[in-house]
Amino acid sequence: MSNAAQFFGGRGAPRPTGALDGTSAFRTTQNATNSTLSSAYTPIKRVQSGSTTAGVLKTILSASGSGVLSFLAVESFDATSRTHRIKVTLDGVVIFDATTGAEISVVRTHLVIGAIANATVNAATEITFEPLSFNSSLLIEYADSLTESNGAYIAYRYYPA
Amino acid sequence: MPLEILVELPAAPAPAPQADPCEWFIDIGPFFDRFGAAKMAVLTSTDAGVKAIVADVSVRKWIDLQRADVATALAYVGSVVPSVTGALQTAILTTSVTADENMALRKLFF
Repeated sequence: MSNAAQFFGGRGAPRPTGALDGTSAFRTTQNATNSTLSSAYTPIKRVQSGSTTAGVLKTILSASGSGVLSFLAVESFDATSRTHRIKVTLDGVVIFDATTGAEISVVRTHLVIGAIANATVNAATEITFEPLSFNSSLLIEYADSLTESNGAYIAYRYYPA
Repeated sequence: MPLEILVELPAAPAPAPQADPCEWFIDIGPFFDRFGAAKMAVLTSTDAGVKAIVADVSVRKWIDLQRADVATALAYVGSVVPSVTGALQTAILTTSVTADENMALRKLFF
């Protein structure tokens, strides 16, 4: 029996059945001069938001099956004022749905899952410490407050499990 | 149940290489060290202009080797201190700054 099974009764990493921390809220960290999610230091997968319609959720990642989500964050692409909404649904349960305030900084990262090490210097890098497992489905959605193209970087890390 | 990706946006393009803002910044101590054998002659000079330049350098957080006034100051020092030759001035200004030569300013200010 593995060490993890001793703590979790052999059922693997716990799966959330409700909102993270009881409520959906971003944790925000700010770099000194460089965007974290768009920088060369990012070891996490990055995507740009693509074409967005103001206030309309679009799918960033949709998966069926079992896996783990261990990092998720959003960051503005440029200094145009906009808000970012992220919604995460695991196994049909919405575990996160929040919108940032009006964002004009390109060096401020809004974290959903995971953290940023050395967040205030140029060598900031993502760390993961909170793997969230899912059994049947994962859905990450994003909504920009603006109708535009590529207003945000969204970064995440997942793997089948 | 195997994980199947149904929808996923393509990866963002790789970011363009970012310019290093500290590339030509040097800590004060290593800047003086670049004078090599001429260092003590500069530091012990009684010339008012050289003393003023040394004092001005000493109060900075770092020296930007690409600033025009740094080259002008070196030229003046060279006019007073013979061992600060033109070749030495060029070497001081154009030798790439190593990691050891700007470690302090990177840690403190960047």
